[in-house]
Amino acid sequence: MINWIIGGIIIGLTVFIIVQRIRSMRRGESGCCSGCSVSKSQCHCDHKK
Amino acid sequence: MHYKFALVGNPNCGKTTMFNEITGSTQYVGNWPGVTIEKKEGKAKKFKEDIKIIDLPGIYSLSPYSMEEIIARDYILDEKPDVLINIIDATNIERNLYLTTQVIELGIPVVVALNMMDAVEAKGDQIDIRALEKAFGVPIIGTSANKGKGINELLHKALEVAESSALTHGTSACKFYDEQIEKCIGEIENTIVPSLTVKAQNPRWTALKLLEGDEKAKEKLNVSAKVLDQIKVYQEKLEKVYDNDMETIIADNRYRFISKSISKAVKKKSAGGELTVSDKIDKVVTHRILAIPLFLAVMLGIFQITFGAIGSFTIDWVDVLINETIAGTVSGWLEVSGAAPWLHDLVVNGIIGGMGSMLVFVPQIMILFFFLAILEDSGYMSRAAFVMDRLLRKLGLSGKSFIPMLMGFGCSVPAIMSARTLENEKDRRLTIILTLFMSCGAKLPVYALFVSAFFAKDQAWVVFSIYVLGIIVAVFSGVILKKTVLKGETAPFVMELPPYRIPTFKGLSIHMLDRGKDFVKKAGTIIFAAAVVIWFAQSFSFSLQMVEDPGNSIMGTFGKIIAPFFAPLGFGDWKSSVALLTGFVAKEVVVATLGILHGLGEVGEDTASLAATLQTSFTPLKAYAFMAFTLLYMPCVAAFGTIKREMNSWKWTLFTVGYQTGVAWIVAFIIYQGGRLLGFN
Repeated sequence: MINWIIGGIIIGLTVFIIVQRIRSMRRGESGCCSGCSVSKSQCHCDHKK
Repeated sequence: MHYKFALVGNPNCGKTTMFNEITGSTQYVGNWPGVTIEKKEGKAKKFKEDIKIIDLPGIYSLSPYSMEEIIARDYILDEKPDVLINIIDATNIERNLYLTTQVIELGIPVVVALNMMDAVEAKGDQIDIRALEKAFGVPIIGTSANKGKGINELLHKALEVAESSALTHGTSACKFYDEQIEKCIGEIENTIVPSLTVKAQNPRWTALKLLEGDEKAKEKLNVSAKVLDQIKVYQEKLEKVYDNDMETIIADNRYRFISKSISKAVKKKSAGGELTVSDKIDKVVTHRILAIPLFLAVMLGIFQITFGAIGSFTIDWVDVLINETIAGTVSGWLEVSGAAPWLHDLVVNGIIGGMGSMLVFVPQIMILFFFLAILEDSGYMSRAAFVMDRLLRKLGLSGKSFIPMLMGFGCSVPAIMSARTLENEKDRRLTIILTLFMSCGAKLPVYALFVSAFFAKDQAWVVFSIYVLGIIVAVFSGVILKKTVLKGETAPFVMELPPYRIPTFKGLSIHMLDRGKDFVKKAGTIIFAAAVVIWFAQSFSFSLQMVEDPGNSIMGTFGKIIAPFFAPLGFGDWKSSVALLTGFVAKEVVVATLGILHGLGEVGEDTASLAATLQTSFTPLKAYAFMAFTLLYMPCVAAFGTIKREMNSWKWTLFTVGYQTGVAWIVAFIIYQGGRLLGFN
């Protein structure tokens, strides 16, 4: 049971991250600067305190 | 009530610092011009009113020559903010006020922030703010954005101006020109402007732009040939009187007005011509002969600290935390819970091993970026760009390329984008290609791993040489490409050297923590997913059977196919080959892949064990060739996407990636085979 639960969570998370990544790249966001659209010029553009 | 305030000012006058102070954001602030290329938005904190703040790119004027000027002017004219907050560098008041004259003419309420007043006071100079207010007819508030002084007063004044229905405080009735010019503006405003097919929202400004011969304004107003002929009469008349072209006449009048105003309002302690502290430092750091050795010595010093005792201590500490404490606890918990061996291997060896192999280097990377931030915020990096410009110009390249190249040390994505500031398309393409040879922060874990394994005593020297190799390859590539596929005139580069400033702890912390946060976030997302996929590919065969020997896995089979390509470079084993390939996802994944393939994460295995394992398949020479290849080969997928977007051409994108990988292969080949010929191992 534990194998199915943890394995399922890991696979689910991996698929979710990959899909999110592809989506955000299609939106033009950078993988280097989290949350930054490539329509902006700098990293950390959307970070708030 | 909703309000929209736009920040406008010269490059490096403190707009982004002001924006951060007002909105509570942690935008990137750099002590060099051109940090903000596109507008940014935020909301003012501490105010009950809904105030949107827009940080526009730094511009010297509102003439539509550069992309930044066009972005700023179009925003102001099309979006019509309620108030324009014009930020002025008070230490350089005369030049900054030129933009103020143009901003006032737009007819939108203006509040001027006389920023860096602390620096003015420190120099012993005095500025009579009330006299300036009277001269320019707009409210002026003294501020020191880096210390948070005067910000509230400035915003209260801007609110007051925005709320006043008559807007008498904002729109100045000030006239900057001679009587004859004013007369012509008045006549155009009253006779020609009303006849335009596109209705002018600010008749006086429209008249002035038509008289100046502003091409963008003419285009926007759809001006007919008949109107242009009418305007030409006025232009010829004034050009005859002043014996100059119209644009220069207008600029000259503005400067004369500014000069007259500040002669009454500004009292300088020291007579002109005396060297400031900045000038004295510049005499040394931009010296014709000393400048480059000094820059190299500073960089080497930083690498010594980062990869010396302090950096090594942080690696050991995080290594124990991840590979012993966390891996041990999780492993024990999985065993107690009765987890299957494959799940144990996936979690401990795959996920913890993959993520951990990169995370151990994060504190070291943060230390490096802390010191780079000091160089940048103090104003020294601008001098480095200035010095490199001299060198690049001799080689026929534009010094403008060096700013994106410097930014490439952080991340290639914003660096590629900052090449937008180059007007010439060939120069822009060339800059993008050269920027990719700079060693981005994501490659640091690869160097950190290999230098700790093979060059324990000379870590700083080796990493330093890799950075220098990137610059040398970029310069050589620039010269070759400029003489072949990207032939063309070199654009001139004008760069203002900012005064030296003592970096603030807050600013340095933002740089360092943001960099650390980015790495941790990346480890928890991209590296996590990559680690799971890599674990799967190295544990299963194509028939989806679990394999004992990873050499028979999906990854092993694939790695063996591509390994011969890397064999002449010294690292023809399938594990290294496939690790380089996974670097396309993100460069840190190279280390994660090596960590997983070499069993890092298994309890008791630490980074030192990985280093020892690597020593069985690498020699110092092979390791150096591997690092050189990692430095120069194709960029990660995010950078690839950005190149495509910015170059807007598949042909050029594929050429760039192919060229990079080709150069990487040749350089690694020369290092490995040349090293062997010279008797290195």
